[in-house]
Amino acid sequence: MDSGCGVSPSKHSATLPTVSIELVVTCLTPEAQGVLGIELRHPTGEELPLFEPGAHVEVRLSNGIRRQYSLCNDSRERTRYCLGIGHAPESRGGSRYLHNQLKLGDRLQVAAPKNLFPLRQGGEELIFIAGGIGITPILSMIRHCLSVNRPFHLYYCARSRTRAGFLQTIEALAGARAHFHFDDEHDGRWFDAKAIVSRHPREAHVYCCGPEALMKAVQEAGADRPAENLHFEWFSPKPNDDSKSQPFEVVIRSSGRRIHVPADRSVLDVLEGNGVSIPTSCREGLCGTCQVGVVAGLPDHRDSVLSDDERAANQSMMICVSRSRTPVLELDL
Amino acid sequence: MFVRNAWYCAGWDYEVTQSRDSLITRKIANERIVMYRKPSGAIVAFEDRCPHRQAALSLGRKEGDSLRCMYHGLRFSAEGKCVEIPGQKVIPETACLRPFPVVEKDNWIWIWMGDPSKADPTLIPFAVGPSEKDWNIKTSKLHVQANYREEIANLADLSHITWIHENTVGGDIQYTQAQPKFELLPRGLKTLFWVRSCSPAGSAKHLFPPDAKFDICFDITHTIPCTWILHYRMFTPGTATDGESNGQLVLDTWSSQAVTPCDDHSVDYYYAWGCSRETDFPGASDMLREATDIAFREDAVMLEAQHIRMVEKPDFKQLNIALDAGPGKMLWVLDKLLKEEAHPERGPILAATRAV
Repeated sequence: MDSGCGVSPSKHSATLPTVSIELVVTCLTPEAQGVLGIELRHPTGEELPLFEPGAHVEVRLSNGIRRQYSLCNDSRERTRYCLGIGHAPESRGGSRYLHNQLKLGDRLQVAAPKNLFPLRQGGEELIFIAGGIGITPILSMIRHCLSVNRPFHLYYCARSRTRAGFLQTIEALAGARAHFHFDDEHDGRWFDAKAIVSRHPREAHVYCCGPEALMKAVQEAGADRPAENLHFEWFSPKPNDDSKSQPFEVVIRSSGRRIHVPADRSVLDVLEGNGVSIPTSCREGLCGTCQVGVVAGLPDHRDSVLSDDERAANQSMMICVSRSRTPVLELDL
Repeated sequence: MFVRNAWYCAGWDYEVTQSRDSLITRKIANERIVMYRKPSGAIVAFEDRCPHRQAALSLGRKEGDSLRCMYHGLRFSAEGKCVEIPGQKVIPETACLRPFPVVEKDNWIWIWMGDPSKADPTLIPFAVGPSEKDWNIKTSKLHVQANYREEIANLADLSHITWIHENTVGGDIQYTQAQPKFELLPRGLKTLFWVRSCSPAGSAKHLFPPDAKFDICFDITHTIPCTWILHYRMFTPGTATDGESNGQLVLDTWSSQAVTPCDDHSVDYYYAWGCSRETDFPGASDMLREATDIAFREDAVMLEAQHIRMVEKPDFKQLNIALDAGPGKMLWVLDKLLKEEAHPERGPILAATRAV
């Protein structure tokens, strides 16, 4: 199974300036084939801003690129941030730079942690499903569960044992609660999300982070469950990468009408072609005129208007450029 | 391009008087208009063009209910029919003026520029004029050398008051951070937003301690062609971060503004602002009028310079930014009405959208 673009989660850079601090690389660990562990501390050992399990930080690399990486250490630790970086073969510069050029003692600008993948408080059963480098936010969640004695099951899948980062750490921490699936040990077969999810009660809360194919499989496996019980940390696509566009269906809330959106046409074009008229201006995801509420399904945000938090909330989208991550997208029209 | 079937503001009621010389001329949506008041009080409006040789009727003379062209003396009734051609006994049927429906409401004169049979007075936008007894409303007007689309864009995105009106009706950076809620109307757009813990406007800063903050609510109804009605309320800063402020109401005001396109390169701008009698204090409503008089000159300087550039390079590839959502929606509504008028056979375009 591919480990995605190697960062977890990868989101568009925040548009508003955030306060950042300069941290020093104090430890570099090869965690697996293509997985680099990075420990960051304050130059004078000062305490760092608090973070919650599932949180990420934005790192500004010396080549100017900004990337978001999940924190994988124990959120009670106050003096260090630990990241796991997957090496993406087609990296646009983030993971390649970190894997090939980062040295002990280097300094990195790091923005205060944000959490778009929070762990709900409560007593319900927890199911963690991680694919590849998607293990990083899950790892901080597991550490938290162990510290408060909260039960969980972890399913961790990767292409092979040698590519699964933090494997020994997880085996030591989670013991029998950890279940592994390595494609090469199953004749290349993927993890069976449906079989796994159906093993657990409807009330269980599922937290999934990994490559898009895995998250879609988990989403389909949980399609008959309450949406609020399924939590995903979505990888973001490259902006406006039409080569990856998939067809999907939109549903008009007021009429229940279903309209097919082919891979090569925008939601806006298709709606207009079907006599559904929406205010629009720039038609390139810049002006916000065609913003529409999302009732169900998950948008694939490709605009330059919404902030990170608004993207994560998935309550609205710009239908001129944004698409769908789910086979069906219901719009508040 | 102008929507024909719409009410256009032709001025304040007090501009058209019973005086002998009160023949008021306007250019509205590329049409020349002459207006006068009949002795009975009603305003009549015609195309300001004698059918004989296109003389300006506004250079004519009121005679009772009728209007005489002072070039060759043709006289027209208040219904626009020619009733006298000096030196000629027979008056041709075609000798008549083009009349325009007129309604006075909220101290504004409204004129219908399209098919008179479609002139529906219920389409006149709500406004708060100077004769509202519970409000102390002050009026003014201005002529600006810009296209009305530029005025629409200016009024549909108030983030500009941080910059253009730094020293008058805006200034705080917070106006750029407002998250407006939009609601599409059949002929316009409603926009609601709160600016919380905001410094007082530049022209009123001296009235308050240097660190004074207010919660300000902007509740705007913007309709075609460009009537812009603002309910503006100031509260002491509350703790609410969503919805109505829980601070104390300091100032409750209405500002009614009508931008009337004369042609593609100029507009007449009629505006009013004032406080409720309950929250008014001596000089306050006059201060608001003064502030807008200066502020709208500030806009005019920017818009006139912008318009020159728009005309120079009509095909210039303009950048779009997230603040353009309001202007984008409002101009879309305008274009939708223009399309509907151009192609009545296709029927109305139904906009399918809810508040976002």
